[in-house]
Amino acid sequence: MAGVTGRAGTRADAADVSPDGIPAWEEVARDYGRFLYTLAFRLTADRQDAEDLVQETLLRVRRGLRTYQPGSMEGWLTRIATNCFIDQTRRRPEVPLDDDPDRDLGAAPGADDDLLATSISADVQAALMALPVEYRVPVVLCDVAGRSYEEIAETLSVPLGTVRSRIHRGRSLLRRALGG
Amino acid sequence: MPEHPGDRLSAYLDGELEADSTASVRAHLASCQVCREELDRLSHARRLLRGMAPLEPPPGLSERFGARLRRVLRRVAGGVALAGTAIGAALYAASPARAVRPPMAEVGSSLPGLPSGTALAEVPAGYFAPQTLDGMALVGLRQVGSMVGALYGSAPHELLVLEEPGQLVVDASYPAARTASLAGYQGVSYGRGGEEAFTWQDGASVVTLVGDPEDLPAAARSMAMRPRSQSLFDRARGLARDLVGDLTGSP
Repeated sequence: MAGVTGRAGTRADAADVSPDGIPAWEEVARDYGRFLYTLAFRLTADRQDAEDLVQETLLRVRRGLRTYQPGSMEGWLTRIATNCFIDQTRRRPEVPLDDDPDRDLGAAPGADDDLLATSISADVQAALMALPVEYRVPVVLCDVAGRSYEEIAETLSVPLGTVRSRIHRGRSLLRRALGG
Repeated sequence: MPEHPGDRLSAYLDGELEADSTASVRAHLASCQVCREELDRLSHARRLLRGMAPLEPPPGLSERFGARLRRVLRRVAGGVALAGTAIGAALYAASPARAVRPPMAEVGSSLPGLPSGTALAEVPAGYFAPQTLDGMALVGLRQVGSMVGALYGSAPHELLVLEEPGQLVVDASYPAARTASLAGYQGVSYGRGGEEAFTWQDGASVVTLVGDPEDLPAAARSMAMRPRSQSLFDRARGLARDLVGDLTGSP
């Protein structure tokens, strides 16, 4: 994976020098920006919140890079982003979907050229937002961020059985919300 | 016949079951239509979720962020990337700067005197209070919240130095404050009961000198020798220790 291991920093700015093959944070921001923004938007369903979440995540990434153990960058980033999201929801209690006129939902900027695909995504996103956070997060971590149950369990500090039952319940609820 | 797998169905779909459980679920599905239909529903939801296309971040998101961070770092660290403290400087820069108002509340009638607070035996890391200031010896140190006060000299020639990390904010609650310049520092000054106070933004801290108006210029010049990068280094090191430990994985 580009920029993960064995690549010395190429920046002139001393702050970004990476003597141990640790990627410069700007490389991380560039190479994983799409991954992070997608994850953030699937969790928050709001462009501004997603942007804030990405920025907060990148800040923490910048701070934590020195202790990064080369391995799965996506896993590490997911963990940081999830913690940021949880902190965000604690600071700001969730506004119920119908009550928030500013919530910028379905018309997300996307790689979708296909109108049908776009509207399906919008529907799924809306159904995701209808899920309580404790179901939404594991489902997004599994099906959007592609993490294993074990990683999700570690990230959320819950037992494996809890991850499994929340993903199961989350998917059932989602299916029901989508008219299944 | 094995009982219905329940939430093991999702784990089965995700390949998260161990071999024997997987086999057991598969055997159950072969003869249970209810669970087959449930599996279909779960599988459909999973496909929909996984089928959502990745999103493009708003244009310039990381660039804007990078530029902002670099500007803040330049301002705070004076453009010097200190080896080993890059993370610390970023940490410090990234914490939202506290608004600090000129500590007029501390400029009381019994001036100059140390603010009431915890007496300190030595200058805390990140603060600067020299042993002597303009020939006057340091006689007392106090800490009130994030502000440190240092008292120099002896009556009738005393000087008080107050230091607090943050961004100086001067608003309408200080009508008597006037902008002033002292020893090259741009700040605000205000007088009360014969004493003069001068407050300015010094790097990442707000510094205030309180004392006889005649003593302030020389004292301010002495403060100009304050090792700015040193205090940032110390502060950053402390912050880095706390925050990096805190960030790497605890929910």
